Amino acid sequence: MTATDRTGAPILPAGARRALAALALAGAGAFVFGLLLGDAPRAWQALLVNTLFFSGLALAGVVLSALLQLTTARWGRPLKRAAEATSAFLPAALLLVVVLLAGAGGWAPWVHAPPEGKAAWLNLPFFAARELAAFLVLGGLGAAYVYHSVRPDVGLLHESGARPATGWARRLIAGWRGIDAERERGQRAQDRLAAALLIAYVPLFSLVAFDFVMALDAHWFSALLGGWFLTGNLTAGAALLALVAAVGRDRLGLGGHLGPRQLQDAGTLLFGLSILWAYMLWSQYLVIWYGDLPEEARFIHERMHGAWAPVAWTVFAAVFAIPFVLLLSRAVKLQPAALAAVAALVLGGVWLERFLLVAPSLWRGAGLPLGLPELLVTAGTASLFVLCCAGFLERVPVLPLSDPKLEAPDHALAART
Amino acid sequence: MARPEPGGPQRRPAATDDILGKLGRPGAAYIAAVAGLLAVLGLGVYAFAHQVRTGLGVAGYQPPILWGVYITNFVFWIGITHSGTLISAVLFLFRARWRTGVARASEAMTVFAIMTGALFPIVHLGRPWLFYWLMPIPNERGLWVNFRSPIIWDLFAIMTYLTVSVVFLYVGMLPDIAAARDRLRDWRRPLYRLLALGWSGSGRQWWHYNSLYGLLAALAVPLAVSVHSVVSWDFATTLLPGWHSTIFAPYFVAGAIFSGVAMMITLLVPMRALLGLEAYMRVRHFDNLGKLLLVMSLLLSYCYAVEYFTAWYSGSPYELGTYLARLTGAYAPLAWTMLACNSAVPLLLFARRVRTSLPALLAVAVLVNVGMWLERYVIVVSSLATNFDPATWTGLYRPTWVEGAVTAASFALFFLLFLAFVKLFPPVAMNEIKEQAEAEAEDRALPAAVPRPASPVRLFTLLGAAAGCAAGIALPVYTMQAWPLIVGGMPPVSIPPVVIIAFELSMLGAALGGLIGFLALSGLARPRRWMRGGAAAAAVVWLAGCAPPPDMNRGAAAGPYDRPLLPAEGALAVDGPRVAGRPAALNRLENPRPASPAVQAEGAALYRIYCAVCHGGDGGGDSLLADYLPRLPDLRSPAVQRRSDGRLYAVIRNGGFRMPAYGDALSEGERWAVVRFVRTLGSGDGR
Repeated sequence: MTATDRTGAPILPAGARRALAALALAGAGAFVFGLLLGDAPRAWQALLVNTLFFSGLALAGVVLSALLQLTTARWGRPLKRAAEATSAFLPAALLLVVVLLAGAGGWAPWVHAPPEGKAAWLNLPFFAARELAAFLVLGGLGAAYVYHSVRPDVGLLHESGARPATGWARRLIAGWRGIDAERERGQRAQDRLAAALLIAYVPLFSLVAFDFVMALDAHWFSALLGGWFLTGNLTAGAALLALVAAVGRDRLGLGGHLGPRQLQDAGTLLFGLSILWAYMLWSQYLVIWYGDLPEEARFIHERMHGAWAPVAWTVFAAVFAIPFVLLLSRAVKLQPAALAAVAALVLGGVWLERFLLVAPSLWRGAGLPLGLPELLVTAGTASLFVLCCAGFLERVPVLPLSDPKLEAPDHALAART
Repeated sequence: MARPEPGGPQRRPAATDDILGKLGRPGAAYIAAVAGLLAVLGLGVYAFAHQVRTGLGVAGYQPPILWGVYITNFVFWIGITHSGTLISAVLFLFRARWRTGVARASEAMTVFAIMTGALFPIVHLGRPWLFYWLMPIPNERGLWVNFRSPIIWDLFAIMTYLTVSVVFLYVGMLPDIAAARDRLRDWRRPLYRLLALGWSGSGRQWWHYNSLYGLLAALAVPLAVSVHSVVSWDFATTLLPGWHSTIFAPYFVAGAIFSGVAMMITLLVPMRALLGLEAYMRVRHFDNLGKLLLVMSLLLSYCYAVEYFTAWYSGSPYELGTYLARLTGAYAPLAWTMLACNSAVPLLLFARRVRTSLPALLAVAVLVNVGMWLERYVIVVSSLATNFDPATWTGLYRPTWVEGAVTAASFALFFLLFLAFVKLFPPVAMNEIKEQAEAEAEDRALPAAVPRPASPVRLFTLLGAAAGCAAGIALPVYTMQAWPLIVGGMPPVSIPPVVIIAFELSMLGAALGGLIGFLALSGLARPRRWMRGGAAAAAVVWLAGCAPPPDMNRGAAAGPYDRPLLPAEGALAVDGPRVAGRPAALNRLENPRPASPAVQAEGAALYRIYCAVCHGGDGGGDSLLADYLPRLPDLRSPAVQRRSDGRLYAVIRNGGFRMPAYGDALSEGERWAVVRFVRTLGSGDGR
């Protein structure tokens, strides 16, 4: 198995690693600089957008892996571990959330002027407590799920002598009971935890949307915001998965397991979620457009007209319109470079969507708050994200080796469309 | 897609013969069931006839609750449709093998549930025979459908859904119908011969067939989602608290799939036992259906929770009031039953023991059916009960026996259609069963024998979609321009309605285009026979077009306005002088409003609102509606201007020869102000 050989080998060249670390530091520096010496609201806003996007992405990877597990999908098994790699960012995500909660006065308008009648919901202690609890529950379930997914694989390599476990890996497989028992136990635990994670993810991530997006606008409300927000998050996750499938074949050594069928299915998953995102967007828009009530329509209106309009249309084009047209074609899905380009476009589009949801409610200056501070904070968070994921994949097998549904390389490559 | 390819697996006669054997002579239980259902259906037809004869008043409507059990049934049955086409198509796209045992029956359920559900908007009409007025034939009858109304979206969505579901079911059955044609020799053979279209199972046919089937599955999913979304917008586009919520579309879709799966279990468990299909519908299939039911229950509970949370969070006392009234008011017992059935009972399905015990699963599914029916009832009735006008809030809606009988009849009709289906067509997809058995025997994924290029059926589908999309844009845009009425503040040509119509017609065009391409490329279409059929259909359409157009002003609705309703003799008028029918007295009336510019301006404003639509802005009768009305008197002419003020007043109050009465719309003073304005049209001196 080629994949086993890769375990432990560096995924990123040393130069890239150093550059990413430098960028991460620069991002942190830009945030602190903005906070102390520059435009503090703008720094908070940038951090908020990136926390929502990247902590969401960290969860989305694990959630997609849980979905693959629960639907007993065979095609996606080679990508399961890569999806779980996003979990390595979860501790950093928790840190970002804690920073945001600690500085809520700097970005949340309701801290200083709670809207009438909403003080019972929008007060700092309750807010901080429920958000911390939400992230701890989701992160905890995700981490436990990933643990039960990784443990049999590390143990399998140790048991077969292919790669003896040392240090942290030895602690990971403490109490090893032999691969057969461990495989069965791991699958059962994963099934249970995957179900629990999904059941927790939908309401808790909606709560995140309500608290970090809806509450920024004192009067706006939309029952669908949570569903729309988490669909966008999963769309970004699917885009990341397609990107990994397209560019990670050689770098991760998955070439033997990722054939045309897997590429096409990864593309189809992205296609389907992108349509679902557009459906959610449309369902919310239509009801608000038709009712035309000021307290609902204003939120949409200020994003679709004036300075923000180009951003809104870019989001629509990047997350739905362009990917929809391109992914209709089988050729695009089968061409790794093309699929990677579409996936990158969707990832950028969802980031911009988070920005569009948050910034117009907070930004009171002229023009668009898109410039060097945003660029640095975003690049920093993204670098940290990539470093975390790569570090994870360097330390554990990049394939779920013990998974009974992982097909042998030649079989996985057999064309079946 | 993954279907037998030429030279692929050999036929296995055993499964085919066994399943075709199920189509044999029905047993006593079957006949008894049909007889009982026919009796229930007959009672429902009688009740409906009674309603048509007597009027809609025999239903229990109680203002402001003018949507009741019928609309509940409509939403319920359209929800049931999501069992089949959607689930069958989704599972096909996900390559879930366990779909095979249940797909056929569920697709048939979809078709029958649409047919049942689509009857209810008609049953709900006061004059059901005019239902075809919904059809968008631009400016043909002096009727313009309003494309900004969700009711019209319903028409397009449901017609498209019915068509595509029938095509999906039919195409899926085509190879099995051919097998039945080849093996069964009885009175049904001509039917199979007709429907099999000469299917021979050649490699070329399978190639196009697999392509079409995959495309139809891919079309069916967004289409099914759109249908229940549109149904939800019947409610959500109002501003009514409890209805106007952005989550309504996904919420209704989730509820629809939930109820659809429950109905699937409710039908399949007895059918499996009665027809002896244990070999094809295994317990693990029901285990999976149970899991699906559980997932949908959790999603629906999420929607309930978000709905209530948003009502509270919005800070609107009306929103919150409506939801609290649901849980505590007159309809509270129903609301709590619904929550128990939909959110609490399905939690039992977490236990594997419940999912794999068919009686337990059936019990849960039946309760979910009850809960989902109640959900629609609670949504429809309890929001209307707290309408915009608090003075009407006393109305308590109680369905009558007529609504009960019609509802029972709808279930009877649905089950009857299903019973007929399982005796006419193979209830399990035989070709898929064989293929799956072979794949499982060799323990491998289903392979394609040789990778083949994409079939040109794809091109036909694309062309059909493009044609449908163009039609879906042209029709509403043209109609909305031809009748540029401002409704609810929306501009005459509004983009969102166009998007919806264009989407539905694109789906319709894609499905029909694919079907035509498949038939043509596979050599299944016989042009001559089709042309004969086409000519017959065209003749019917043409004859229908020649039928005298039922103009609005010749329709039954004009009746009440034909003669003014006169007050009883000796009645004391509290609304201005009693003026009707006494010309001499009329001529003596004097206009109490002065001929001042202010009064004339008031009259002019009222004239623009109430009169100008027919009489035209200048009184000359040149108006939007002029082409559809009998010749209107020119208000500027001496013939009109010579009349006394009192006679003009009387016409406004009581109506004229064709003109409806405006006594309800205008107060006494306003009527006199309009008279003052009409005077300015003639001489201009406002005498």
